[in-house]
Amino acid sequence: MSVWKRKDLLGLRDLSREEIAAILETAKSFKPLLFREVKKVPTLKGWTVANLFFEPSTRTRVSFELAEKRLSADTVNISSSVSSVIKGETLLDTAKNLRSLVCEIIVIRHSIAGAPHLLAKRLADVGVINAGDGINEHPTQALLDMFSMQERFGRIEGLRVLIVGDILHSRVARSNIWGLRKMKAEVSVCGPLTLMPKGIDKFARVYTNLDEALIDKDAVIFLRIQRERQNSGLFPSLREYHRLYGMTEERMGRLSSKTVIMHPGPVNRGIEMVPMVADGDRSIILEQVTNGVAVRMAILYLISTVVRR
Amino acid sequence: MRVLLRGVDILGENRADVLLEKGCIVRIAPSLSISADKVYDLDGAVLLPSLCDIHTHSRQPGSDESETLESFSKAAVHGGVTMACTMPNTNPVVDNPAIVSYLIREAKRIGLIDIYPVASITMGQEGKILTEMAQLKQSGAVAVSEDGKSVESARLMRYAFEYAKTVGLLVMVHCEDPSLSEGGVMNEGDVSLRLGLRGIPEISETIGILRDLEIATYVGARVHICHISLGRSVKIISRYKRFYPHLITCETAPHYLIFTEEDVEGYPTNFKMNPPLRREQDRKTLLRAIKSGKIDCIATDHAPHPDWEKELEFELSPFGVVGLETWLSAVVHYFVNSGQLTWRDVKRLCCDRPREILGLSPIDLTEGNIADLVVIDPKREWRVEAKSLFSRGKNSPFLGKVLKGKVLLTIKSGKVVFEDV
Repeated sequence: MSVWKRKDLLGLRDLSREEIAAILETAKSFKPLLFREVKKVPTLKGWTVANLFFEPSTRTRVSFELAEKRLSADTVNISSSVSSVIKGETLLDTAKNLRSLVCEIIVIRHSIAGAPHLLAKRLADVGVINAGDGINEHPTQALLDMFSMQERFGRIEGLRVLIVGDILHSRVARSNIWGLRKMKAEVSVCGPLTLMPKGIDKFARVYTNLDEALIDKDAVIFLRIQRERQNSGLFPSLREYHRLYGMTEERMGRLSSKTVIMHPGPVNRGIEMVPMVADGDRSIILEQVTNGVAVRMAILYLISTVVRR
Repeated sequence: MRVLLRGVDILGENRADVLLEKGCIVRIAPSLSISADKVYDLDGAVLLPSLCDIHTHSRQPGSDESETLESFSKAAVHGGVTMACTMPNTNPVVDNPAIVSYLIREAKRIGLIDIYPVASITMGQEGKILTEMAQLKQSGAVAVSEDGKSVESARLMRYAFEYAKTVGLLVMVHCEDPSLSEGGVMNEGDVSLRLGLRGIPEISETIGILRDLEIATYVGARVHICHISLGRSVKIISRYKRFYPHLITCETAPHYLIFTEEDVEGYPTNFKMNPPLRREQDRKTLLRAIKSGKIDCIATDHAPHPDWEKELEFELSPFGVVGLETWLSAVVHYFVNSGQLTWRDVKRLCCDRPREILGLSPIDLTEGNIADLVVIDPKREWRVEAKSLFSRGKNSPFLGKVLKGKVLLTIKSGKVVFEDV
């Protein structure tokens, strides 16, 4: 474990291949615990972890909270909104208060890129875990995606992974692109050009046609489309979006037999994919959810080895 | 009051003693043995006319926590600046003659620099009704600008150019198409992709420039384009300048000549400004363009903010960095000491052309001229720190950096207004 020397997990862009491998390896050892009768280890007994969520989230928050509880940490959940922060207490104020309450680890989700980095820089003795910052990164999601791929295929290197949808506004896509490239997977993206960030072609192969993109892929990650986007002129309608980029029964029929379907959830049924795909035997969406707890336990544990109390 | 500057290097070209009296340069000679009230041994430090910054934000009236006219004046003379044009995006907006007169009078009372106020184009910068430009001019406004934003309606912008031409006022334009830049916080490109920050595309600046150049040249009005940040902007402006050489001038700011989008790595809010830092190739093109004269001058866009506004998440922190106090030092450190610019270039870019843009003639360093001067030691190093800045805004991209080139003396009308010999 000596490869892990960080007190924070801010994003996958900063991590080395070895560090990512260390997280995945540790997660593997935690996973059986989730199925035992007593699903708890004393690793973080006496530690306090604050879940600081400035954006609504159910899955990620619950997943972190369970991971913390399975490690025997005390947890506090703070939900706030950025708009209330603008009115008064700044992020740093909130964070300093948490430190005074003696929290050793802060899990933060924030609508603004770089917010976890600001915390990590200013709180030298507190571990900071990024649970999603703006459109920048969502490292634990990408790690659980990679963990799920590794479990399914026995490796990540050489896998052909396709990410479909709103790449422009997706922190899941960014973290997966940085992480998968480090692990030597082949990453491609697919969607309308209005939903592609400028310069993405330097990091991933870009497809605009889903049928072409699906050929010979090992894993396909469909991103959740924000319904509000259709009013911003980025695409004309959800109906047309589904027609061009939705996973349909017909497209499933043409898919290679090995391909797995993934989604960070929650799925907009009938938009990103029809229910039959989400619930079908190629879908590993629910495995992803389980693996999320193991991966987050691994990260909490690794960070606790660096944050000295 | 007689002041003797001993051993200054005039424009970095010839060493001499310079005697100042009654606000003027009275004698320049290789060696003067004359008594004076104040004698400075300057040992080869360089003498220039004091600087004229045509783009600053004094934050007055309204925002004492960002800057007062006192701290602003002190910051200016610390940087060798004795003339500053202040932008109208204050609270209240500089849209009436009373505020213009107030700014000029207050600066005079403080007695360090002269303020040349720029008034707004529309009342309250609301983009609806033109300001009373004739009266603004009469009370001392040197130009009109909607700095910080563009006048959205092209029709109203046409009227603004026509009316400003009628009363003989310069229009300074902040060129940006807000429908393209909205939500963006840094240059759109590889780095914004990497950092997960929303981008401001190049076309937001170039389309803004093209619109205003088209309108200004169509109606034949003088236009000054503020803070250009792109190589593409240089190309566009040069093309129009070829046909309308007397109508068009433009500026860039020191940060666009020194930093790039790569400096935004790590989310440092002291590198967030609008327009944003661009790519290395833009930086290089801008540098070539100030050397060749395609860009007329350098101006700082000095924009102080209190610490608590800048110590926020990158997207929440406001645009703008301070620049008055590091302007000349940075130009000397990065460009003169490395031989990329001469002292004559510095005089042209920071003293002469800015004055000409305002309709004033340049100051020559010869006997009989007004003694608005700066003495800078190009070899002396100083560390830029919060406590070394006089401005209330400590939001400098140079914080922590050591610059080689320090202002020793700033002199206004023969009076020493800053001294660090």
